[in-house]
Amino acid sequence: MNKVVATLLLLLRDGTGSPGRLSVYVADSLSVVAARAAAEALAGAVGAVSGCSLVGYSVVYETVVSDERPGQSDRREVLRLVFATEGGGYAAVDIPGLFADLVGEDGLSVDGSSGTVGALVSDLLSGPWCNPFGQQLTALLASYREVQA
Amino acid sequence: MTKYTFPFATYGQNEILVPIDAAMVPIVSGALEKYLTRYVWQTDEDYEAGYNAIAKVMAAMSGNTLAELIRIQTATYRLLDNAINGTTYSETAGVVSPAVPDVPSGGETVPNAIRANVQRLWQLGENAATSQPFADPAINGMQALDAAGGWTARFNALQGVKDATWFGGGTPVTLSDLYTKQGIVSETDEGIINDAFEEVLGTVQDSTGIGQALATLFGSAVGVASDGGVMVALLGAALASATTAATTAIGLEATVAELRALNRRLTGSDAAGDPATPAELPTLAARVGTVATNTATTAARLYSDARRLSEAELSAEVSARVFSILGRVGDPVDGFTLNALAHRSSFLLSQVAPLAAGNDVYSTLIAVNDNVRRSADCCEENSGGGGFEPVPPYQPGLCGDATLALTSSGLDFAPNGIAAEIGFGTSASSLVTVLPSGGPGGVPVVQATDTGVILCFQLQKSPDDTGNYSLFVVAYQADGGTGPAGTVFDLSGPGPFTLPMFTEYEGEPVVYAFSANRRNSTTDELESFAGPQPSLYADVSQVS
Repeated sequence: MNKVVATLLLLLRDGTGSPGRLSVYVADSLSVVAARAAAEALAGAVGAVSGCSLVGYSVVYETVVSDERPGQSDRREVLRLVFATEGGGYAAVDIPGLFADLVGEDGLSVDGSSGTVGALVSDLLSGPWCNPFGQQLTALLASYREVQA
Repeated sequence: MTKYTFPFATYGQNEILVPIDAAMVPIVSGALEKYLTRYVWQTDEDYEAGYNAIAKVMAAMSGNTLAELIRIQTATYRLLDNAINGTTYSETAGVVSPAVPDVPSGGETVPNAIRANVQRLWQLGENAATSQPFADPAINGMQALDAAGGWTARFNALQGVKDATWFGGGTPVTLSDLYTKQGIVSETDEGIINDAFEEVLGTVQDSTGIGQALATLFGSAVGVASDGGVMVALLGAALASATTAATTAIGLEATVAELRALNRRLTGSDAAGDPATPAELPTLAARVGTVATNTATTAARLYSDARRLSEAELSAEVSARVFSILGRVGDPVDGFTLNALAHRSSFLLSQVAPLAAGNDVYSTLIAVNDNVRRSADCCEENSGGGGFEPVPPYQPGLCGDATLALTSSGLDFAPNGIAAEIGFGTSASSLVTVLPSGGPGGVPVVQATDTGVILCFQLQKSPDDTGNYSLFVVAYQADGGTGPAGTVFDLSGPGPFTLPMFTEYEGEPVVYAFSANRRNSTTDELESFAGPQPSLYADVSQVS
């Protein structure tokens, strides 16, 4: 059996405003570009048989579950890293559940160049990661605690 | 849900500084989270621009920008405080001291403070203007300012002070004082005085006339003692000139008398004494030269006096002749030999003749000159007691040896007594030059470079070379330097040659020849000659 590595999710809305959804699955032999093209073709076919409007679609790749135990931190405490990217852009990377001992006495600062935070930053800078516009991360500009609602 | 469009038109033109308490940054930043998602923006372009703008704000939130601004502002204050007030800051463990005060010190004595420098400049300015001395020891290293160095003191030192008299004095001299001292009452009076001077010097012929003219022409302008003094001085000058003229006339009479006595002595017609012997001739001739020079000097003085009295009465012709005489006889007499002296005497007479035709002085000088010639040129032949020979045309003799050498810089001519006899300089380079290829066929040319030089040079190749001989004859006019620069005779075949050398020396024929009997063995000095290297021979003989 081929391994399923991604799920194609079409988000629909009927005439009453209620959402609907359609899920199909993608084999691991399909590239992201091909999956996206297949989703657009499928959305057109669905529109021919359904009165719902297409709100959008997503291709969600496989989620690897490593630990299902509850976390140890407040989900609202977020480590916000802001990077400069190639082309003069920016990239914001948020890590939820920030450990309290990583926050400075001022309640704001997080030292991005030392310890575990530093290792994370290094991985982000050396990896293939980019901002939503395909611009590669080049340097860390800010690292601090953020509280999300 | 309403979606946002990014304000492309106005973005990046202005920024505002929003103070956010540091404790609120996590919450504010979290509130901006939703603007990082695609769904809040209208288009992909809005999303990309909005994402970057919001992320930029998020990045700035951790920068503590306000604290940095305050730090820079404080540092700027310390910089200005140091420059203006001279305050010195130091840092220990991150703490800068002294702390920034609420009220600046305003120090004016710290040496490197601008305030102190301005204070010092103010002191310098006041010292210069008022000579006020300052000594501010509080400004380290500053010396007391010198009161005498101020502008006022310097100007006072420069201006003159009138001598103290019974009526006061000892006060600075004013321009009015200077004006009064000059005795110039007005420009009109100054013009009257100048006109008077010009009139007196230009027209008046005797002292009486000068006095009358002065009294008339000065008129009302002679109103002060100083102007009267000028008039007296002019009268004195006129009288002195008249007296000098009279004295000069007396001296001229004495000169004539002495010349007559010398003439009688030389011609043997002096009944009171014996005819002159050959041994006495040089002394007598020298005396003639001295008298001639003195005569010229006297004539010059007479002319000068006459000119002072009335230049207009001395014709231009007379002036030119007298000045010509003075120019000819201006050299020291002692530097001439008997021949040169006699010849100059003859020339002097020829110049004086038009002025003194029919005068006894002229005929006397002519007779004296003839006898001097006889004595000088024919002394050997005519001293045997057989009576004097007829006076020949004047031919200055050659009484010394001459040497001739070719050098890299020209023809080295050492005429010994010759140059002195004919009265020209003895510098070889001033007499001749050699043009290495100036003659026919490119042969060298010897050229005279001074007036009054008559030279002939025979140049011969080495004795073992029986080839060509070259003879270069330089015949140069002495009369004013207007004659030919040189004449070249190129003779072929063995010598000797008859030398066609004739020229004029002050109107009378003179011929010299220099033949070979001296060799210059410095071969490198002969490189300017073409063909086989010649040797140079020279000796001196007279051809008349």
